[in-house]
Amino acid sequence: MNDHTTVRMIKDKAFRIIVILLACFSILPLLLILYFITRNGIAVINWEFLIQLPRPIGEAGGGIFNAIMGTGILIVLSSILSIPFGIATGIYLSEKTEGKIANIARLCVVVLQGTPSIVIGIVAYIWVVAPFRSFSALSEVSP
Amino acid sequence: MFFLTILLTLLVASIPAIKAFGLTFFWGTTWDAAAEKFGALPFLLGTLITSFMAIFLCIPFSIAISIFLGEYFKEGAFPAFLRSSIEVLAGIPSVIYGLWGLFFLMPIVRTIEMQLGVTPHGVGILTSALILAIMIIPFSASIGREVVTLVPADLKEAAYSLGATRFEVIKNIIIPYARSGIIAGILLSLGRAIGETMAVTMLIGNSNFIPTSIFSPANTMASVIANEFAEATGITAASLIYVGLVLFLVTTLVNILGTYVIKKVALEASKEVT
Repeated sequence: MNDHTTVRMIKDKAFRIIVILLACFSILPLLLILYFITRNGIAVINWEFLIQLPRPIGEAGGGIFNAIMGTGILIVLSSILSIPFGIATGIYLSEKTEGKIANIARLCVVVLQGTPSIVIGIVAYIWVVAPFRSFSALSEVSP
Repeated sequence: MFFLTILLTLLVASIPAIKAFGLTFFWGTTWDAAAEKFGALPFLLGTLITSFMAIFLCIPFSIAISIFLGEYFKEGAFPAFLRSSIEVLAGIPSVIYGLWGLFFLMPIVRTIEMQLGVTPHGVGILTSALILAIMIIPFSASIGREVVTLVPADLKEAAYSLGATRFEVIKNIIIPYARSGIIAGILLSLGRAIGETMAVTMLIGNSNFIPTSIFSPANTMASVIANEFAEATGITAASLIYVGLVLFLVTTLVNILGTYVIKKVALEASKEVT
């Protein structure tokens, strides 16, 4: 064993240790987030909290039933609307790897996947919310 | 098709702002809804600084995870645990990251700021960049792991047979071979960092001025839309949609580029096997 070999072995060991340390360090946020959520959240969760409506600010008690229902309805509706398209596109893309339509569809999937949710939000606002608001503005004048 | 519809919708809705400000929008430094003067430079800078800081913070970790899972430890209980933890990290909703950042990272950053003697806002560019880095590590790491495992075994074995140590194999064979794939993973996570809305909005501090240091509060393109769009009307709304248009074009470009590079890497790898 000459010096050159020893140096290479030491470098190898050092690199291995650095990689292991950095990789382990990356799980730290997950553990911290889990710890934070459980420590602060577990105490307030009980049956009442889950099935009651929020009370006015300043009043003790109340729950998040409306939020749970909202999330649930949203998930069901969006799943019904999106799953057929998603599965159809997936089958089509896995069956047909070449071709013009397949390439366009694949590009669309990439673009849609990468589009920030806020941009989708603006688009949905322009399409869905804005027209209704202009209609309901008339009825809001005389409440 | 979705691309064109989104593009057209945003374009049509932002016409008043494009007419009023044109390209000066990109270097205008004032964003004043009362005076109806809009320039997006503070937000462009905010997005640029936060996402690039996040990328630089995440690179060492994501490459370490890629090598750890793709080369050092492919099997076993702890690597399986690490892999599933990273998947869980990728699945946490961004609002939870924001909440955690607000309660955990913000006090830490505030302490650092007090030590350094700058105004202790707590929220700001540094906090957002940290939370973004944590959020994008899973993405670049999972893509990096895939390309590291794609490196042909005969190349590595040839290097080992010449007496190379594991470090030398990683440095001279794996990293050069997987480089473009790793870069693609970083590009895709950059796209995510640019578009990230909720966590950043909670932690950036919402100041419509050009950031002066990495501790100062700022606003990103996504966060300014999230903050102001609900109350905006007329030219303000059009300007915000203009910002959204720019955001959409940038993220689309970055994503298409990243996907293209990954596809090329996978194609080359499949050629070498056959």
